[in-house]
Amino acid sequence: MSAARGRRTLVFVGGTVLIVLALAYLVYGGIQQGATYWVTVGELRQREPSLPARVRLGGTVAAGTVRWDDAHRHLSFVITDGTSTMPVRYSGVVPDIFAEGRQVVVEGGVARDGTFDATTLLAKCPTKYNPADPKSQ
Amino acid sequence: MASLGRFALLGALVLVFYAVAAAVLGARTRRAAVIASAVRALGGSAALLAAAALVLFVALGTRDYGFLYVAAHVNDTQPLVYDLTAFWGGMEGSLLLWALVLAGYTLLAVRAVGRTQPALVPGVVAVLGGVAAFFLLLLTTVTSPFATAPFPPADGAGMNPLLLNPWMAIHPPTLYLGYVGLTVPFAIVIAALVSGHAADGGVLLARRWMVWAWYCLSMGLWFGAKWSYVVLGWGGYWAWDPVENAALMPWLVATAFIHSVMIQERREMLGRWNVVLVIVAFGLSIFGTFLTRSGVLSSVHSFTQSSLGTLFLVFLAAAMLAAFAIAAWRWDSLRGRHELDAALSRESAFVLNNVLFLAIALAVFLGTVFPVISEVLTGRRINVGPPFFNHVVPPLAVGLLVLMGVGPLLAWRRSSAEHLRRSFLAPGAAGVAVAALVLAGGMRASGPILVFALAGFVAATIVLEFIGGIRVRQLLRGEPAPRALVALVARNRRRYGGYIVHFGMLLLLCGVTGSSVFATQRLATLAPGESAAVGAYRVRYDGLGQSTAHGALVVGARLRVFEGARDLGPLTAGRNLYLNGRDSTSDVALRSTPRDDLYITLVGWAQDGRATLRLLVNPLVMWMWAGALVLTAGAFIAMAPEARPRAAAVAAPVRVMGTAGR
Amino acid sequence: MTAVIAVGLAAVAAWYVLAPLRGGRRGAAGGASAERAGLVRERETALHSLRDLALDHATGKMSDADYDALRSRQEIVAIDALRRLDALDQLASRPATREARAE
Repeated sequence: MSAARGRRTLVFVGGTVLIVLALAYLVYGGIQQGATYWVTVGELRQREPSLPARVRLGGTVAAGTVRWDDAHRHLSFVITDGTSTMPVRYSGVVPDIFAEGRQVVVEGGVARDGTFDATTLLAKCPTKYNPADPKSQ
Repeated sequence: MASLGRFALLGALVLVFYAVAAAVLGARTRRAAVIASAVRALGGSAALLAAAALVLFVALGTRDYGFLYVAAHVNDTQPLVYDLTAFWGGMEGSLLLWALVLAGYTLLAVRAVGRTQPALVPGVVAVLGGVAAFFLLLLTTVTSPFATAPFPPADGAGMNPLLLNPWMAIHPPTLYLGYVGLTVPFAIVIAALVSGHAADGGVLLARRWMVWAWYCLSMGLWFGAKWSYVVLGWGGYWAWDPVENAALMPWLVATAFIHSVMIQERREMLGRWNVVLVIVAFGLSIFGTFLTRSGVLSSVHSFTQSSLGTLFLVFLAAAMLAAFAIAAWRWDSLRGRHELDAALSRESAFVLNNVLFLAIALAVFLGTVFPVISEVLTGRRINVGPPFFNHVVPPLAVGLLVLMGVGPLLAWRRSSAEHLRRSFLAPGAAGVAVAALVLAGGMRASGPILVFALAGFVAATIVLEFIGGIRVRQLLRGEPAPRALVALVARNRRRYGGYIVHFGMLLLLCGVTGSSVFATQRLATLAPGESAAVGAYRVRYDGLGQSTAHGALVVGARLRVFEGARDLGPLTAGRNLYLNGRDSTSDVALRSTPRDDLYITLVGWAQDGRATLRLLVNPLVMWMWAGALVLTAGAFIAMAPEARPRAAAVAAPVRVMGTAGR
Repeated sequence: MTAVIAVGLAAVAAWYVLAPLRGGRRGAAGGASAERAGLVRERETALHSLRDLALDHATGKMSDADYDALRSRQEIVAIDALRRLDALDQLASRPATREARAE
């Protein structure tokens, strides 16, 4: 009885360890694949060489800088954090909430000509995340 | 008007404070009159909350721009029905809805608990009252929905046009029904722990509420996905956004609970584990609200950090600390009566199922808060996006799929090899047949082949479960098959309702697999009369049209779809440009068939009449929506009260007992 | 105007909430019926488990020995609930006993 019990405990402990290790391995692999640094425009400008090739850049779309090409396939605009700015180039699905003055996140890297080549463009839904204080709107 | 609303909230707050105090006092002094008074105080606060909600509804419906909330979420051109749904379109209103839903649940829960386990009433009143007090405090001090402007504007700002959609109108209330529903099992379990003698009964009583909350969360997630798919125009339904994950995590934990509670009922095991699951599910519901309201993890990190976030975190920490302290205090009384007997048994399959659900929840949690963790650990904010989730979650989900088929086949306590061989033969063959079929159909990606084969395997086990049950009834009662089927489901609602839910999940998983692995898309710029091919379809662009509707200029590309030589009819892909000059929304051209969805958005257009279209073919998406309907049917069968055993069935065990009991 | 409504509402709420405290009716009346409801629930749960076990056994999900062991446990629970229910009902039909016990 106790031998059988001991073996059972061993099976369950072994199983638990196996599952935890498998999960840790999965998570580690996932982080390797998906991790991108998050920077502001100022940080990107200051320490660009030391950053990885692919980053996530957050900021506001500067007013009057949104340009489309003829057929609305390519988009360029300037992203700003209030003090520094960065030109961005993007072609892909543009979220409906994208507009001048809205906060956006772009993912990509800085190209040779100094423009940020974005592969992903996310815009913040303005009504979904209201600031707490109605007066600050 | 506004002052009436403010007063109602204040009164509700006073009453819930009184209810908590009276419940504690009544339980200590064992005076039923004091407890009855506490229950009435909760009823009174619910009435006052309803009055406050009515005030806000009237203000929204009459477009009373004196209310800051109305001015921010309503305008004169918005359809009236969306003026009303603006109730939950903003933070203050959504918190009021939260408190209102909690008040309604509280009344129902106190009644239900009072009928069967009156000893738990004071505890339930105290916990639900405590949670309500927190939300009422927020509503009266930090984010009042009844703030007014001294000089009302002539017109309001209105809601973002993206939210003016039927799916978005019902998505938040449904989700809240689920989120808030998780509070009731939490209250029952805590009350049972505190009262000390009913720990088991408490968890089992909590089950019903948990199933309901689980169902509402499922529907909330579904509506959200549908909205994302038909409105946002990016062609997908799930983006692993923090806000989506916030609702997914409690859903996963609730699902784990619904499974493991069966083991507790049947084998009196896992009592402690279930208590932990109930507490964690509640904690995640508060955490989810925190995520969506605080903006800490919104897509943009530079977002306003409001004091509300801190308050939520403090409340969450306090509630979790208190709950786990109480659980630790009563830990010994929760000891199970049995242990796992064998590694290969129904019980161990359930345990593994729980481990996998929690592993997914943990992975989603890690991925969601990773920016914060990495900032604390390394000083840099690092984001893991969809690649992380797409790497971690599918293997775990496949594990669950395997268990979904294997679990029902395994015997309780231990399974003999012989029994397994017998019961695995037919479903295994079905799985292999599906694999051969999709291979013959030209599919080569190993992941989807595995998923479809496993789905075939699980579907076969479900069908066999039904057939087995029908056979038993036919043997014992000689009923014809159709009647046996109806009787089987009616008399074992939880079991067969559960199998139907499983079948819905199969459809859903197939839909997700098909649409995420085999989607094709292309971007095409066409002059009028030109066509573009995508998948099996050919889409001809016939020119642009213009119209106006609801304060928006609608630009539509007239399209005609062909498959081979067959004309499948016209479609219009449009874009609504709102008069405020910066908002625009897509009118997606969507043609759904069981095989695939043709999904076209108008990206842009030029002066010469050329238009740029984004064309997608998403296979099997319709199966996802069908899966949600099947899930609904199964959930309702499982939630309906069990048919009462007939008199004969009641008498039978008594006779048996006459011999067995001595 | 609003102030009047507010004061009125507050008065109604206070009266409603505090009513049970003004003595008179003792609130213990629900005790027996709640106990009965609890027992009925216990009985139904046990009977339901018995039916579930029988189905599992009939479809080959359980060995005979396990079925017997699990069934007799559930039967004891069901019988216990039935006995206590019977006792409660007999008690209720004899008011004299009930008063004696209330002492």
